[in-house]
Amino acid sequence: MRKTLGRITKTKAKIFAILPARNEALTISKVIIAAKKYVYSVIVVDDGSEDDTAKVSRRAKAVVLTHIVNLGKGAALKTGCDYALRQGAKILIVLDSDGQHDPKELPQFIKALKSSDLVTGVRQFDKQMPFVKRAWNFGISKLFSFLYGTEVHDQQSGFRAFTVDTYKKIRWKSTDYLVETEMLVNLLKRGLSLKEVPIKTIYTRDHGGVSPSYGFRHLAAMLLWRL
Amino acid sequence: MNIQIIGIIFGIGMLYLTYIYFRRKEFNTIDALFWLIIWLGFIILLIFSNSLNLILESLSIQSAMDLFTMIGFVVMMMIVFHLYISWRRLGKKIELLVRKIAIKKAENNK
Repeated sequence: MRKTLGRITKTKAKIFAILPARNEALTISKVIIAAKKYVYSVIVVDDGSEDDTAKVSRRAKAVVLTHIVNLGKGAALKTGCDYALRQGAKILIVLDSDGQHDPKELPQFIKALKSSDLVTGVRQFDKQMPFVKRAWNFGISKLFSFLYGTEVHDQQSGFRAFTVDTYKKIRWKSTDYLVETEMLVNLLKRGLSLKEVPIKTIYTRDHGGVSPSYGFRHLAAMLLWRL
Repeated sequence: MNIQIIGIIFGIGMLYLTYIYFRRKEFNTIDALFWLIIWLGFIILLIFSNSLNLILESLSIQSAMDLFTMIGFVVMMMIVFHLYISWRRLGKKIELLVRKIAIKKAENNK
């Protein structure tokens, strides 16, 4: 398996980047163009956008999958991963399409994947990140680590890489932002390994806060999945 | 007595709505029959509410209206539960459909 990974990473072949996107026409082409340097194919899952996200992505030479109605991030990621699997992918890298994640950091994910089943990016919780998000991420990561017995420093990070074998084992049911949590829960429950790599914190615009209902659902889900 | 009259008028109204939905083919025959029995039973029980005395005494319930309220609440909770399950199932079906269309379209465009 490790041998195969080594061969794959040398040729970029069978590495697919998956970008879930909703109304990201302004930022997505930059991300696609940058990511294409490191992967075999960039898949954009247009999750019911009302702007030109799909058009802009096609122009940037990405493969575009369109959800005719908005389903949520979890569903969009699952569509992208399932499609990549059907195209013979070996490594899947998921990242945000709003420019929060720097595709230049992709090689360190591919490298780290040689010695683990899933690699997750850890943002720096500095002043670049809005205070509410910083506090929420810190608290939720600590609680997750306590509940699941594995130190996780950025439980909400959406910049991740995993092999297709791992994907088949951790395939999630969440259709919304709970996907990040469920992915890690499934990983740890199946005894697979996790590696963290540091990534930059990029906030170019207001990415919104944490709604009370989402916070409550997140906490409830974390406790429920622990049972 | 007044509350009985209001109840009977409500029951007749619901019977009429059942008939309208059946005429518009929004209800099939089984649906229409089911609701017809429900509303007719409701009206008959209201008219002959004294016949419920035996049940009321055995359940230590004071009046027929209390019994109706309790039954109504239980039925309402059952309907809410049924609707919740249906809504979840429908959501899952829509998700599967939307995701399948997205993948098929992309594969056909290759």
